[in-house]
Amino acid sequence: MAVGASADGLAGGAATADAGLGALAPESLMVRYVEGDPAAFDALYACTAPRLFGYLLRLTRDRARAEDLLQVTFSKIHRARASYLRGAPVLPWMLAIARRSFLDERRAAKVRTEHLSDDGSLPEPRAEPEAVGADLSEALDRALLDLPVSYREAIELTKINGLSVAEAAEVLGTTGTAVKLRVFRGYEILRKQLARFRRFSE
Amino acid sequence: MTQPDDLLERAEWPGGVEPPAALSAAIRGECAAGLGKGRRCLTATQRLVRSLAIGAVTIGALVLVGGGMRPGGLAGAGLAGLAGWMSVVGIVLVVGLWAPVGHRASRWGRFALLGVLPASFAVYLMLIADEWIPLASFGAEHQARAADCGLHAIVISAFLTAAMMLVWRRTDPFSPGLSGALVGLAGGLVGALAVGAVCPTHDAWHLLLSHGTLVALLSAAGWLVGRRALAP
Repeated sequence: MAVGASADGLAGGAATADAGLGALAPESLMVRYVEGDPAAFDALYACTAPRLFGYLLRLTRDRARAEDLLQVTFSKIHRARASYLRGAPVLPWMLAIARRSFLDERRAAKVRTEHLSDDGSLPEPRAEPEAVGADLSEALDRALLDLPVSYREAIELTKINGLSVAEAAEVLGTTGTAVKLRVFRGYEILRKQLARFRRFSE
Repeated sequence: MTQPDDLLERAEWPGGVEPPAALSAAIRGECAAGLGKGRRCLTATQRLVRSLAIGAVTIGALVLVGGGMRPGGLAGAGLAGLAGWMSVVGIVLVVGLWAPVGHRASRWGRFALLGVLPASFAVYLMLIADEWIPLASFGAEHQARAADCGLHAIVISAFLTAAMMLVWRRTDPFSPGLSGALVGLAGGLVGALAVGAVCPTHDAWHLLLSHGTLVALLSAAGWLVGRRALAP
């Protein structure tokens, strides 16, 4: 279930959490969580977990791995909570931890695994997605998943999660110029994919 | 970047995805455990002040324990140099670790500090040296003194770097290696200054080998240690 598509207002997803805390900025919630307030953690989780899970899901393209990584990410956040720099932006901090968890996991799985079919052969390449009848947003979703990782990550952080170019550059460990370039090239590919989708659907 | 009839503008972008309820419950259970004992959350400024205080106290303690200041004292140019380099250490920590994400200096800027500062410090040591023994005449006695001084400087710099790493522990998921190198650079500079304050030898080779090389060495060590110590 997709929630909170807008890049502004992180607290939008905090409906399940305490109503008073849900109105607080994630930075304030983080401080209260560090000071030992479990309700603040609930509110913080409610507003950040969907974003982190969506990010990990699109990064891994595998639901089970994304779920494992979300748990690992929150474990790390919990262990490192006292080292959070009071007042610093929370979402880039969490996204960077999630990304490092993903990279660590990928490094640990030294051998790349492929799922074999019943007869032991390698799976067939993924079929082209059915374009006709699907709506534009679904097409965009699929096109995003087909983007090269570096482009997808840059778009994910800036366009979907609302980070500034400088923040995204820190999370990705690169320069602002590189992030802008990746976003630009990613957009170009997405536009081509969507134009193809429109031709199919007309 | 927007084009006429831009499909990207018309499409609804994907947003967050709600994790499964069972997973959320497990994470909430894990993270709520032990929350009773609340912790203090320091600001970046408080950590910066602690780092600088560690450096200043170490220099002060070394001057006291080490039997006073170097011959000629810290007055005048020596004191100005010490104050100047402590300011540089402050700038390194501000640029490398204090500035919030999105407002830090670029990666290239921080890399440049790692190249420029050890070289500048070596030049500074050459300028304050008042003796220049040719390398061929750098005999066993000089070597022993240089090794002794270098060992003290390494131990003190390593202690300072470790203490600063502890202050900034787990604070940087973005570029922990680079930040660790900057902490090592800061620790190396303070250690070299601290030992330099009480060092009785003013020879250029001695200063370069025992005090100068240490800064680059600690930066490299900081890079390796920081990758683990500074990442959450």
